[in-house]
Amino acid sequence: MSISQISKFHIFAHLSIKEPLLDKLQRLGCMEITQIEKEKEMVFHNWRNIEEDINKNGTALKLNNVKFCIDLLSNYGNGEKKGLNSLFTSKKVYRYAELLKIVEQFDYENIFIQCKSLDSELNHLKLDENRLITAKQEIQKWQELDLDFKEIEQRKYIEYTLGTIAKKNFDNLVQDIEHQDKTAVTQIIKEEKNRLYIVFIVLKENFSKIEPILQKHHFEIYKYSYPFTGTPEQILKTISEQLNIVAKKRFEIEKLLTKLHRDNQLIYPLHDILSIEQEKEEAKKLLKKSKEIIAIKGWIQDKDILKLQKKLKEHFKAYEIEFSKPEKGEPVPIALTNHNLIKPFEIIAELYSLPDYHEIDPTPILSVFYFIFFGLCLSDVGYGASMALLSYFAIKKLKLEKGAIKFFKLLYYCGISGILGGILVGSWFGDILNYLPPQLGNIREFLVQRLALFQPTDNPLPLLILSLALGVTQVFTGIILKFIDNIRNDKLYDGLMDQVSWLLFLTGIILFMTKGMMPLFMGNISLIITVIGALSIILTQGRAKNNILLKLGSGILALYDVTGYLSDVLSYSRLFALGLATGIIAQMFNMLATMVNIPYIGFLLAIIVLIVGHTFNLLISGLSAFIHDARLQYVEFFTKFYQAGGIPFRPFSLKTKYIHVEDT
Amino acid sequence: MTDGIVLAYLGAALAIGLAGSGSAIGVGIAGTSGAGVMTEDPSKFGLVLLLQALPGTQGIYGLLVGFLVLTRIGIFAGTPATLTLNQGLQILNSSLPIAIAGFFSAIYQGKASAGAIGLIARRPEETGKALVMPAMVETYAVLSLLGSILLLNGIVL
Repeated sequence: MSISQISKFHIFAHLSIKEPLLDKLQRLGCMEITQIEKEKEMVFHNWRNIEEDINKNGTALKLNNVKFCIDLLSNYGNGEKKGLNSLFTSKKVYRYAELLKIVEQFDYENIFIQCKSLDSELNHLKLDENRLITAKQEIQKWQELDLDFKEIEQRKYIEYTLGTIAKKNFDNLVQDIEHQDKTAVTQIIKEEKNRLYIVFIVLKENFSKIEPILQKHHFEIYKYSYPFTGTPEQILKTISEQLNIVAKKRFEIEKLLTKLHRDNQLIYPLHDILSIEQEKEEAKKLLKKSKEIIAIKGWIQDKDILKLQKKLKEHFKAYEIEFSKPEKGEPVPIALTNHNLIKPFEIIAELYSLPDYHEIDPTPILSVFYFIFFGLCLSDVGYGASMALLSYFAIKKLKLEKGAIKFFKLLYYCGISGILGGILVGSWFGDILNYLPPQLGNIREFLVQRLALFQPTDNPLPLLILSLALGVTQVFTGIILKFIDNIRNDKLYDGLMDQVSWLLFLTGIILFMTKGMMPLFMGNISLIITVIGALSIILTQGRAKNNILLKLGSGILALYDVTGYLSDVLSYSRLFALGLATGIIAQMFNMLATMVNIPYIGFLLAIIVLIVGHTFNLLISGLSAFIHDARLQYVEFFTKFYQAGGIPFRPFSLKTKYIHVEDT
Repeated sequence: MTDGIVLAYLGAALAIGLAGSGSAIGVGIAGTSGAGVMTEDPSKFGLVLLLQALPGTQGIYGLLVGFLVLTRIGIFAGTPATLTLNQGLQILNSSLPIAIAGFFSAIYQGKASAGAIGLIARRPEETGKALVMPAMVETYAVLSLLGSILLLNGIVL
């Protein structure tokens, strides 16, 4: 279906055209190069890896250096490419040839050296700053001390001891000291919650007697360890002067960096062309060469084969190319090609996992279900319209990357689906239509009463049943898809036994449960279908076992799986619940807005309440719808048939980060 | 004011309060681990926020049921209905599913979200699966919301 057909290719070319050939392949950008497995594929002898010239020109190193510069410089931008603004300015476009010139002409090394030295200066300054700040914090505690730290160390006869002690120990300490030496002086410098900052003044000759007392009371001696001299007051002044100097230096460097950044915008294209070169170097590691020839192996989408052949023929002579279909079991990369209308829904499938190459792409069917379910979950005309309009605006006005456009397209579809869901349940920003002036009552009645098929707040059951019915539909679709998949893989009998038996059984049960609404004879028919289904399940589901009793036993046990299907279907009741929740929360905000009864500004406030409330509800309900819808696809739908596990097709191409390359 | 209406108030209060508390705890759990991830890679803010918001829905469901109860007993219309004890109990009971399941599921969803945030930190390509894990837990909050709505709808006043 819509998984692209992919072929394997081998190119054998003369060594002399290796570089131009790789260059051409990269610029064509339609093939993925893979590792050549020696034993299987190489007919010739003496194939080796191309090792000698990889990284000879130091692309990797250059790229690293340029990345370093960009990481540093981009912090000192002129504010042009930051924030929302970047959404409105598109990336610069360069021609490929121009880019190559940049590599030759742009003197990046000079810039790198400057960046490196400025960066290390910055780091030094940061270290200095931290050191100064720590010192400041420490010395601030001694601010009240009116002595010079350095000077008191050098006194001849008197010993000054600075330190801290727990408050509760202080009185005992003072007592003990007085007991020992009456001449000692104790002075409190600063009081904190639990600790005291103290200075002791004592004769040097008596200090040895005092010291054990200090230890006994857990007195922590403070040693001043900074180079500054003077009283704490003076030191603090010096420190703040130095901090100012550091800040000035930093400012200077930042100015230099900003200028460097402004003058060297070419570093961005340089980064990209280097990363293109780097990818080429990486690709070389996958090639093999003999004395005269290089071999390239890879994958290509079938639709690109002609283009490739034509281009190669135009530019080269000494080469040979052959294509072959992938063998079963080979890990073929996956590319999806869907109709533009359903392409955005690939995102949902990709978020889970790409399909395996040999199975069905779930996107087309998934897109239908996703669309319907999202509408039921969001189910509000106002919200759906806001979503659709905003994403339409984003696609038209913003300069977005391809991936982002795809995402906004998905949101656009989801918005439309929300509108349809909203019409279905008559929800327009909740019940905002009720607040219309009475003259417009007709419009309201038409929109809410006539157009809407369901009134979930008055009578929830019909919508709930619709949700469950959709669930049954999707679960059945899943089983049928598995059946088709089995047929495609020549396993018709497995399909009959595993899927058709269940289809019969489940159909029978559903018919039986709804027989009240149908003619009488349907009751018997449904009973017959159920029994046939059940019997075939009992008889077939144990076929892997080799003992007759075990066969029967596992067959009967398999019937128990019906609870699984039941819970799957019940899970779809969330469609109803989430849809109802959106409407009621919206209603709540409408009511809150009417409660703002302040004269004059009340009207304004009400509008603010409405805007904030509905934005909030749109975000939270939109998120819920998105996630729960996806969950239904992944857990209830995919588990029925989807194997997944495909690896994405990543062509060897001109990949860029900061600029666009134009290449013809 | 009748006894019944007191019980109805209790029901609304439990739905809003318990489910809201659960959400607060859950969002808190997810937020802590989200902040951890962002210290490594601040560019993941959008995704992390998305995952952190997931356990927040229970609080909204609770508020929703509370709102439905209050509408049902005519508080907003300005003329509260006179409820019998029996009717009041019925309303209280119908608030319980979202109050209880909302509270617990929000906490566990918070834990699942925290795990999912850890997952996208290491393997950003598995975002889809990471989003589904917490959504599995939320199923039961949605079902209890459904239960509360259906129960409330069935009450004859």
